[in-house]
Amino acid sequence: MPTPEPTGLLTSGGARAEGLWHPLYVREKERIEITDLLVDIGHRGERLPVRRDAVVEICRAHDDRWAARIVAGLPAVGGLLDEGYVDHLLVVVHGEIQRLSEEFRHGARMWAHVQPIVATLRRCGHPPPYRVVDVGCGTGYVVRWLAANTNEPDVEFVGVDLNPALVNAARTLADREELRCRFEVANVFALDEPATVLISTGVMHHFREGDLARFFAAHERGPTVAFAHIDFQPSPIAPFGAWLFHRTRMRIPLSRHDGIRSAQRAHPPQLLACMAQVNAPGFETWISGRHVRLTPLPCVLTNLIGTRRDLRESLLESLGRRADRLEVVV
Amino acid sequence: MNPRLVGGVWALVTLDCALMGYRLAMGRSAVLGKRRYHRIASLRAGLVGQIPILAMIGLALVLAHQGGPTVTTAFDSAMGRFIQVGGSYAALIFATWAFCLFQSVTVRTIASVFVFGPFTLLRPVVVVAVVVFALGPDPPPALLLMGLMVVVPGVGLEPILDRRIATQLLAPPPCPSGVQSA
Repeated sequence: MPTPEPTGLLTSGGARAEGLWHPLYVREKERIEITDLLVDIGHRGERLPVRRDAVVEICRAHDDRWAARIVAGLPAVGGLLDEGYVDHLLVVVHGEIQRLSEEFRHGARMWAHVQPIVATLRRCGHPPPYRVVDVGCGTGYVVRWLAANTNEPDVEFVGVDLNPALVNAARTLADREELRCRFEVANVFALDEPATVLISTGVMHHFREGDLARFFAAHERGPTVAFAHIDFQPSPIAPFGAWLFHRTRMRIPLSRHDGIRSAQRAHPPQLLACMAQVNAPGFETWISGRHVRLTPLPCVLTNLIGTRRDLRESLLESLGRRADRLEVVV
Repeated sequence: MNPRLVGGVWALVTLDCALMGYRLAMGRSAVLGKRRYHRIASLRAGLVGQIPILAMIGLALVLAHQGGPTVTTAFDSAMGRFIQVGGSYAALIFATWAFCLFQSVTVRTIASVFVFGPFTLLRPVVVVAVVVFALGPDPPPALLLMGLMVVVPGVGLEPILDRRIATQLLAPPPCPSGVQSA
């Protein structure tokens, strides 16, 4: 999964946010996702070998016997996880995850946020092209959906992930479907052509503590003018819902495990908004769609939307009546 | 046996086979446009299902013929009850599907959260409940045999096929990227 930047990101904002973290969000035993542990990327982007026993030990240390069993069953060569198999497994797992992305219409959901942002940029005379970059794109479902279902010649859709196998799979699929989008193995905050708009789906919960602060701090420093991040929303019924959907929709044990843990690890939207406000103070940040309209029912997903402060009024105008659903967390 | 009732049961079980094919095809292709892929998967499952379905209908006809009017009446009553409960389940799924024709993210999410997800999970329970309700309190042995022949594959086949698919998916990649074709 993507990390904002390997080193040098401990800004003052990040440090402040780490202090903010604890009163809001403390857990004795942190939940883990197996996919976060199977691939280790070094400081220069190189792939590091991963010892299977070490991963099993981490799973046990987190009291996750289910994860330990799954990892112990993965093939290893000389005690090191077989990289080829791990890559293949990750592609298969992302294929299964796409099943839920399709069911919950992640593409259309994201476009509902990106479209008004792009309209705002045009109205404010921001020079095109508008580069919409998906952080931790995996096999690129959202980017491919956007490229296939929108007709915006001045918008570029780019998917970025640190895992070459996932990016290769995304490229193969995009080529097969003749889509106008591209995928890169890179750190999203160190792209030659930086993002105008940063988007992500189901990525924020992978960032723990300082990483989340660094993620938002990196938004602040670059030329990015807006972001739209979608992730699971924690609620009393979310763990059961996640279990139900991953039980019925996934067949690979790793997909089931990580899907359920994703919902359990999800950050509260208020925390995400606070982290964004503290670490990316140049952005106006909102949460959108916490409850199903006209009901107290919590939404499955939470949306974190941000824009540079000078674009605030124009974005609210572009959103029209949808702006009523935005909430500012103070 | 009443041909209308036989037709009703045939339609419901065929539909269930087709939907099983649809579910088994999901999560195996990462391309965006998959309508044709899902249509073929559903049709194939519906067609493959005809072999055991028609065999069971044939067996039911033989058993009813041998058992005389009492068994025939028991079969007809059971099929009526089967259609009553199984049809309600199918109607709920189709009504929700129709609801999803509104191209709204919220509507689709609500449909998934409240119907498609839970009712897919409950499907094995529904199969057992439908058959138990259809058999009634004191079924003749021939009817009991037919009930078992519906329940066992109805509940057990999909998990077995799912496990087989998982094994196939996790086998070494067929192409360098590991992307499954539609």
